Amino acid sequence: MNKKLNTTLLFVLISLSSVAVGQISVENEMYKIDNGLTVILHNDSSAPIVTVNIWYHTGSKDEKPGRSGFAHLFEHMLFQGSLNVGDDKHFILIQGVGGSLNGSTTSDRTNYYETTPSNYLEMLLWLESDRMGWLLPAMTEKKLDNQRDVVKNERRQSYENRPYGLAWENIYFKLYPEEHPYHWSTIGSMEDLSAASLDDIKSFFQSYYGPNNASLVIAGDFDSDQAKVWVEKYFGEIPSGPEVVHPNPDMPVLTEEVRFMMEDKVQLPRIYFVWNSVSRFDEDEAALDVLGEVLSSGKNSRFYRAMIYDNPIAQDAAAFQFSREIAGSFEMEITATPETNLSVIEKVVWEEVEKIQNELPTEREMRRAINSIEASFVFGIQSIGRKADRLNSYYTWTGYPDGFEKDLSRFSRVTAEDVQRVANKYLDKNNLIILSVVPEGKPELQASK
Amino acid sequence: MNKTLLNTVTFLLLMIFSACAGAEYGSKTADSSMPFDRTIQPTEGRLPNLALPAIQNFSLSNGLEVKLVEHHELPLVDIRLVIKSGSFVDPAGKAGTASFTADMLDEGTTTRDAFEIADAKDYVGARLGSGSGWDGSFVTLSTLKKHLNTSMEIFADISLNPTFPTKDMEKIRERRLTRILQRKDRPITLAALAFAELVYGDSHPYGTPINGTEESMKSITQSDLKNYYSTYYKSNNATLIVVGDVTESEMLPILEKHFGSWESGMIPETMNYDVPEISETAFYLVDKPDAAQSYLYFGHNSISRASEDYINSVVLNMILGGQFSARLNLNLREDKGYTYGARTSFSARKSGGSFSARASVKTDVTDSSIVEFLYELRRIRSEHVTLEELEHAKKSIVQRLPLTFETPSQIAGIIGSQLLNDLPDDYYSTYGEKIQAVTMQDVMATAQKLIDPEHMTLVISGDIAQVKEGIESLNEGSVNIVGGETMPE
Repeated sequence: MNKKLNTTLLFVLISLSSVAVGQISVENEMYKIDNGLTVILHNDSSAPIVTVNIWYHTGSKDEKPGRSGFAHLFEHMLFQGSLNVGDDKHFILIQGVGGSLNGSTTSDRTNYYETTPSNYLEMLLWLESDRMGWLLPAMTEKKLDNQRDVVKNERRQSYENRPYGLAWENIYFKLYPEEHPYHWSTIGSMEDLSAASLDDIKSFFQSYYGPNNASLVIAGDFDSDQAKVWVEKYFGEIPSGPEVVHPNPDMPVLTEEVRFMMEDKVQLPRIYFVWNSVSRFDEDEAALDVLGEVLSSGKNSRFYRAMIYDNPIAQDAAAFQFSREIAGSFEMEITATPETNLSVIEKVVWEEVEKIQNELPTEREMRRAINSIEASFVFGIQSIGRKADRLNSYYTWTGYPDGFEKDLSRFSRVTAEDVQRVANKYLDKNNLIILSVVPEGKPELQASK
Repeated sequence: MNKTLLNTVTFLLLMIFSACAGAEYGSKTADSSMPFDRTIQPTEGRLPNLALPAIQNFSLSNGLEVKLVEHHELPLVDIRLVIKSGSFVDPAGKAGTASFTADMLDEGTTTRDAFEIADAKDYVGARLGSGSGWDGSFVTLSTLKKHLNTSMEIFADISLNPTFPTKDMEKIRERRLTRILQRKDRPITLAALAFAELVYGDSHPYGTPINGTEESMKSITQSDLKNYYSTYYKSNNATLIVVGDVTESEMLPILEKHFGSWESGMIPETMNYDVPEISETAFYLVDKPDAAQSYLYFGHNSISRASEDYINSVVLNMILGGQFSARLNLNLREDKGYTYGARTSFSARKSGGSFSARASVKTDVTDSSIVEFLYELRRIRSEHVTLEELEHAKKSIVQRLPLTFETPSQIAGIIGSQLLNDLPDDYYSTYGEKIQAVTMQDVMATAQKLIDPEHMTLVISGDIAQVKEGIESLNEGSVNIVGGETMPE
């Protein structure tokens, strides 16, 4: 593959530890145009391709009561054509030049991205700007009804017809109070999807899809001066939207143990433990990530030894921090071996929790966890598409796109004491959610108090 | 030492698309404040050259072949040991042997137990994997370059010195059996397994899953794994692929040290198997009571990778159902809203293959969806595709190449697949021309030859109580119920 020595990824090796990956910097140029659109340019000519990655800072968190799933349904509508680009053309034009594309919606943001050979940058900007500025005139009831059906099928395929597929939705119903925007799922309910109207489309578009609520990353093999001209040409005349205010209720705190059970068409029982923890980039987040690694990553993890190898009661076991913009949770998901009673799993989980609350993880455990996380930073920026998404992510959450080093350095500072401290602070024995999912007709396998 | 340095093959896509030549940066001088017609699609600009990865070939003192591609963008190295035998040569009745063998490589070596192996690689943040496909087995490593020596040491150890320890083997067997049990949870898996068994029968390797069945997994012994390993994991049946921030002179001593004395052996001939004839189209229903959707998995036996129809099949598939903007998805999803996505594919393996069309559809439109599937499969045989569709598909295929050669692991994967299918190093240098030569006549002739809706196996996993009557009323073929006690677990 053709390589350039002046690659913009600079690796200045410094000795954070014996195996640190070094310093990662992804050089970029960031500016805003008059209507408030943030533009981030990153040149990387290691492959003759270009990526356009746009984030709208909106997601299911901004949905109105009775309209769960709307932000995601709206994402689908952006692929249905805009005034100057014909219906269904978005996929056809990009795939027709060899490109790949998609979009996704979370509780806090919606992204759209496409990668093509580098000569199609102008076409990508034309396509993205048209749906940012001229979506509504092309919107019809027929398109909405079609995508409503498609999204309902997505819900059937990815949630209802998938083993354990409704577990997380039900956990968050209980972890977050009804008035908290993380209470409902991004896919939404069938009832709310049915209720979505063209008026909802119009008002959501006007409230959240203005250029001032978006950030555009262009990354890959392109000429920055040329890109700036095109950005101005295609996005410049799109008017700003209103200032966006996101709901920001206090971090909810469970004040009791919530234990419940669901039956599903599954072979194996599975148990979930979920605690309120911290939001993204909170000062305890990195320590919680390391805690998850120590508990469940790899054969030397605590869970593998205790539940999978020495005394095989589990088929798989994971523990991890899940951070969102205004709240987060520490979560465990453990699938039992056939016919194993989930109370048996629960007992071992509490033994392991108490152990890490009372004894420091070893130096070796810490290094394995931190070095694996650090290496994954480098593995994670091999593709230009993922690197662009990361730039947008750092920009949206911190205001600073090149957040790689700052993010990474948090992990090198995590100590064994930090891990023990966050285990004590967040893994509260009395205030958490415990969900048992058991095979249909076998409620006796649930973890009972 | 035999060394061939292939010249970089410059891939001038431009020559193929003369229509866009010369239209370079058409609007560069336009005043951005000037009004312009937004309905006009911007010009394409000049298609960039794609320099395909330059593969450097050399071999170690024992004859082990190495293919190396320098990729200096990031300080990473991807290494892949490809064994040119996979699940296709599982012993009769012992389906899953190749995959179980690969699974056991990191469970113990002559000098390390499973925990020491995991500890050593996690300590340097390396990623180590192993597995098998139909035609090959793999050991893979992704590592930061600064830890290349440590990572290579572990990689070579699990590749060359596995001991298949009994205790670990029994634990892995249990976990594999449990995963087999979990297949029942997933309608897609159930349908795919039923399809394979119906199309190939139980005496053809493709008829049973790569990971084996409950019965076969229980029957595999430690000596089966050791036999598989000692028969096929030989230096003359393997190739090392190295892609990353390294050069041949850096890698050669490291590879020589670890792999240079690996022994060769006699590799048994691969057997041929007959595929049963299908006399008529028939439906096979796998029951998933109360399922919100039906999973449709339709198709039949098809061409191998070496077939002369392969290139035509790629274009045909791209028009019919190979991507979002293909006919099947535009019809079933974007027009009808029956599904979240519908696709077709030719799975062209070394010793055969299959054609399939698939989608998860809402239960109450199962019969209507079948009508649309059969409509599209018949239409592409009876009417020419449009010139627009043909050009869309060809451009889509050829211009995707720069995206598929982006990262070291992608490149290593492509080289591995070329190897297993006996394709030359420069295969992709002429690929674009071959795709471009396909005509609409070729597409129709290939569809008529390779897609046969009247001799097709139509597997549907869903709620039989709700869908059976509708399917029967289509009069497209006999309706049979499979699964439960007799069919694939």
